[in-house]
Amino acid sequence: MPIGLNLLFRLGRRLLAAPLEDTGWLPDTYYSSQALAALEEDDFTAALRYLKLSHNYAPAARLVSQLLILRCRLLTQQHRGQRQAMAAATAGESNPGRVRRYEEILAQEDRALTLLQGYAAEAGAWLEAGSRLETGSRLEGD
Amino acid sequence: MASPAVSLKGGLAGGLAGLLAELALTEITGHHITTGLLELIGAGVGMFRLDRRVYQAIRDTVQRAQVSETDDYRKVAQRLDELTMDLPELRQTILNLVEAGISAQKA
Repeated sequence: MPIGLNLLFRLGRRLLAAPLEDTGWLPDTYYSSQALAALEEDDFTAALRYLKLSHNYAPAARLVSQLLILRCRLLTQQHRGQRQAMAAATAGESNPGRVRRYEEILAQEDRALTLLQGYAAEAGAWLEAGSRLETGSRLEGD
Repeated sequence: MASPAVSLKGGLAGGLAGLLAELALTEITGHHITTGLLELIGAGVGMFRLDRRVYQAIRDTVQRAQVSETDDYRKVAQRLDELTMDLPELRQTILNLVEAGISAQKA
């Protein structure tokens, strides 16, 4: 019996949940839950993917999306501070080896900043699309 | 009330049988059955506890906003206020959390 159940669950996930995930047909709670799980692991790409699959812009999904934006902004502040400190260290350094190393770190910081701003912009666009849809349906209702 | 009978040997034998069954199934089907089951249960439980998880994630984020050890809730609140100007629902939830934090600090 347990073996049968195990197989059933596994098959259910493999055969139903995974392919259905991309269709957006699963309940909003599922996508919000998966987006939150991804966000808990700082996997912004996966969190955004699940949010975009949730077309109904449910309150929980909107909250997760806003939380993603806030986390990106906090991390952006943190990276800006690190970048500033690294830039100051590079300016005061005369050893070419160290300067090269610092410049590599600066490039990584820039890359992190670009990525974070991209994630926040994507989540912002998703939220805005939801707000537009809400306004549109409200106007139609009037 | 009679205490429940616990058998260490039984537990070990059960654990070993489960492990062997899992290994055999993985070999036969090529899938990690237990992982799949846990994933599915996790997703199901997560869906039911979504509101509490969102609240917990917001609390974690508020804690992350504390840049230095000397920052008190007012500083954190101010920083969060600036960062959530355009995020209305989250802003309200965080405000409630921070106010609760300030009240706790005063008490």
